[in-house]
Amino acid sequence: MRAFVRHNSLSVAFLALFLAALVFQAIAGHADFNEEQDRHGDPTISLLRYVTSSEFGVGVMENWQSEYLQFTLFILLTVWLLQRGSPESKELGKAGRESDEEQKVGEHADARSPRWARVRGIRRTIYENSLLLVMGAIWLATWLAQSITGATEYNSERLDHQQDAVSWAEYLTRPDFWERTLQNWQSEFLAVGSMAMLRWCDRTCERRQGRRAGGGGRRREAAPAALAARLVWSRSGREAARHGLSHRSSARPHHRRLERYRLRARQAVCAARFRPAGGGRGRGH
Amino acid sequence: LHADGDEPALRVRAGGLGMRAMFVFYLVLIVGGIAYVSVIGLLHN
Repeated sequence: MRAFVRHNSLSVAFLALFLAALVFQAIAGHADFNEEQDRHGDPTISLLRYVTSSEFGVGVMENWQSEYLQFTLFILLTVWLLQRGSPESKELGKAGRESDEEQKVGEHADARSPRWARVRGIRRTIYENSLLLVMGAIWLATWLAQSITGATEYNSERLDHQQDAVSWAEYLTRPDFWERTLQNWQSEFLAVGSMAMLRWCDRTCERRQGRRAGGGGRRREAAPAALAARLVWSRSGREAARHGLSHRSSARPHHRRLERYRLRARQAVCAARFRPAGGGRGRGH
Repeated sequence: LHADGDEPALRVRAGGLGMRAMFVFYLVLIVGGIAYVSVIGLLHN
């Protein structure tokens, strides 16, 4: 049990925070909904009825979709776009996809690499882009769920005001859908942009401190995000567990330097909630 | 039997299983949440 907590403290902590926030969202949302009902002279509803309502559903999904869009864009854009000095970015001049050798896929894969890293064709493409594909799929699914439950909520409001209901497709063109969507997107984009810049300051300060302490001011190599970005389980989870890392980051654990990079990438996740497991390096998402 | 380091192999394996369980739990949570909200949206339509 202690080993489980030590290896999973971050995911357990965020899971607990998520569940607590969801419960309190339901309680506060229910109270707010009933206050509104009272103001209109309508009957109040139970908490159970509220958590199965479209009002609650759309509130949850509009936030989920924006979070997963943020991850998806971050993984995708950091392949080509750079921010000098930021640990969220690759170094200048390294924009773009990496070679098979750098990625250690295909003929450069070793015996302990996942099988899909060694084969050619669609399976390797999926392996190379697994994190991006999963995050992108979750974003699209959550956005779809937001639109479905949002349309229901929108129509219930219209019926209350003796207006005709609109179809799902029609709802997608209504300001309500886009207002719900964009109010979340703008905050996520600002958060990611400021993260890249504020971490830059942090790292520059660290480097200066290193020089003063006689560390020689050696330039740190950027965390090679792609090397830790695959979502595929590898056979070498045992090695990853020994380093306190997730299985998905252990494609080539024998390589000491890569392990250091991965550990650094994990530490960045601890410091930054939206730092995906090596958000986008070359072909390795 | 010990792993490469100073940790017993069995404990290391248990840690790996725990991580796998968390990985699957998160996926189930996400997919379940999306399905739940979609269903209540469709049912109340």
